[in-house]
Amino acid sequence: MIEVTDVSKTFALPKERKVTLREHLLGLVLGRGAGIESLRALRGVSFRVHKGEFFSVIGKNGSGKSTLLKILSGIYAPDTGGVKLGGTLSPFLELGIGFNPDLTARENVFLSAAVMGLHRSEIERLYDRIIGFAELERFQEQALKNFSSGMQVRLAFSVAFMVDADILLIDEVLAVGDASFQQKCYDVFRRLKGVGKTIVFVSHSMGDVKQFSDRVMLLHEGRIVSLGDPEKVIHDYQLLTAHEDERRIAMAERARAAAGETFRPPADGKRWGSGGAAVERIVFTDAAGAEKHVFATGDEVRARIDIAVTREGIASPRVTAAIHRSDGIVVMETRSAPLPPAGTGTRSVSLVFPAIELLAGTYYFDVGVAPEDARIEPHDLIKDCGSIRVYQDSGSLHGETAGICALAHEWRAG
Amino acid sequence: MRSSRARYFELVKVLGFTDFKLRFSTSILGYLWSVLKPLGIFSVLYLVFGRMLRFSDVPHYRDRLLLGIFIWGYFAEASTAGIQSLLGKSHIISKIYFPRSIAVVGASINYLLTFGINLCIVAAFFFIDGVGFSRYALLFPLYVAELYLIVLGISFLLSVAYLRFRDLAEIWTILITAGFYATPILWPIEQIADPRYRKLLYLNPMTFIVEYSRRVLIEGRIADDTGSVRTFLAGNAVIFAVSLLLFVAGFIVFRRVSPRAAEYI
Repeated sequence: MIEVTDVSKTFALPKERKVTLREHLLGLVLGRGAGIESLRALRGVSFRVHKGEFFSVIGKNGSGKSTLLKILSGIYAPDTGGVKLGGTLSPFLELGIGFNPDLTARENVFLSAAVMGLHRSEIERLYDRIIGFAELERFQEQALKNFSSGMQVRLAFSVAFMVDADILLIDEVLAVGDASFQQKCYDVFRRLKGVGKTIVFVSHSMGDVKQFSDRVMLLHEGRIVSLGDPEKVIHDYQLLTAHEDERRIAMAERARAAAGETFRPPADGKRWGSGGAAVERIVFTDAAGAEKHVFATGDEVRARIDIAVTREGIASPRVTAAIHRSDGIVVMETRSAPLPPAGTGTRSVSLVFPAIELLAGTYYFDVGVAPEDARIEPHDLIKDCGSIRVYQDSGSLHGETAGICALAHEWRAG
Repeated sequence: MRSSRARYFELVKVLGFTDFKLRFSTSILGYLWSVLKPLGIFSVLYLVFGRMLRFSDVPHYRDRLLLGIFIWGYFAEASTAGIQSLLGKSHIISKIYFPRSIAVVGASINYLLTFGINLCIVAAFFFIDGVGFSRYALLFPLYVAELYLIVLGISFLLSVAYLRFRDLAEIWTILITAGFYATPILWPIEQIADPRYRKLLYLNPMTFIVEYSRRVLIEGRIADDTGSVRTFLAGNAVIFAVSLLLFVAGFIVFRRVSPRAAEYI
């Protein structure tokens, strides 16, 4: 059981870190007040973790997650408030705590385990299992510096998971190792959860959080924003990041507009065509016509595409759009019917998705103007002309957890 | 789960032995260096000061010098390591909680091991030079303990300060060098004829430790030249009080400041 009551923590960050005496003296002479910035990492955080619970903490970078873990583990002392722990605690804030490259694997196991609180006799008893789990039986007497980074990580993991504490603090350690080793670690997680260990887990991987957690807590700017059911809190988190992203992107767009830059010319190799007509811009809006960059699955998305025809004789061009992910997987390519005949000048078309079926992620739009005959080279084609971010609003979903696309589906009995 | 005291004792041991091992594991002669280094320094100093400057007329100068060098060597190395102990263990301190004093104690324990080995060499020299063993030699462990308290006190005080003021390492190196010449290690204390100046020397606690260790081990007496033991007893009381005070002061400061050690790294 963990009880955290009204914990606050502020760091005084010198704007320029003074490390030497000269700098300190100079600081005193020149007035040091100007050099201090205070960072309020945690502001009055209170919560309880029950015995045997798998409790995850999520939040953006700088939200106070790591500070909270460090306070739970006693590395930092809180400014106010207190932490009560009902049992022994073992933090895995980093793998291989105490590892030294000049020592052998065996010596490092003993050193690291001692740092984490194991007695020599316990380590001796567990040693073969530790080395076995790491699959390093043949390399026990080799210096750690001769190990590949993967081998070092395996060894570190094996030591970490042998520690027999009631409460485990785990900070984002699952992000390492190859797939099969990761699987082993998941198994250990399940076992730890099964034997009733209390686990506090900090991660950015919503998949892991959802898979293991009993309850989730969302931190934002040092405060608890949401706490409870994993699905709900993860959703709150996605909403939070979506709003933040929207604000950030909109601000960047506004700054660009203010600078008189209407469209960023794409980098070399991202634009080609035979000329005569050009894509001018793509603007995403919601159903009401307000410009947006971040959408929830199921939202109406409208992409207005402006093109400029400069050559006589291109009366009825088609507009093309390809939606793809950053890894190149194309969700869909589509092209409009030939536009109604018109002369040169600027014209617009809108690509409307009444309820976008994309799942969480960032999607890029390649936009082009093509001749009526689709076999001929396009007049203009811009790769990654625009992009939208999609988050999943759990209210509009039917059980989809990950992927590209929400295909219409239902689950039936039998 | 075992008591945390047992656990932390284990940690002191492991950290201390690991440091000891790491100090020598990468050199060809390994542990031998812990003996060879002070012996080498001793040989140079003995040649320069003992032979050329004729200090060797002093009875048992060689043994006095060797003992002095080893005591000072322990003080210099252990205090330097102690001051740097928190920063040196920063990779652990910022990742896991344990009483921060363990890092400091672990660092000085390591040099205590070397000191122990060195004392065996001193014993060999004593044997060769026919230095007898008197019952007063039993006082020597007391001086080692006081020396250890002084080292710990300094380490506690300065290891936290070192996290903020990285100049300390350089300053301490200079102080150690100055201290080596300001303490009667090379030169016999009798060189200072004026009793007032000689008293001044005793402001330095290391003078007590070095001089009294020599007296009980080499001279085998506790009385001064006039045959009185009063100054000796008073001196012992002073050095005991000073070392204890330094240790307690260091520990109190350390206890107040060290919970924030991880933030200063």
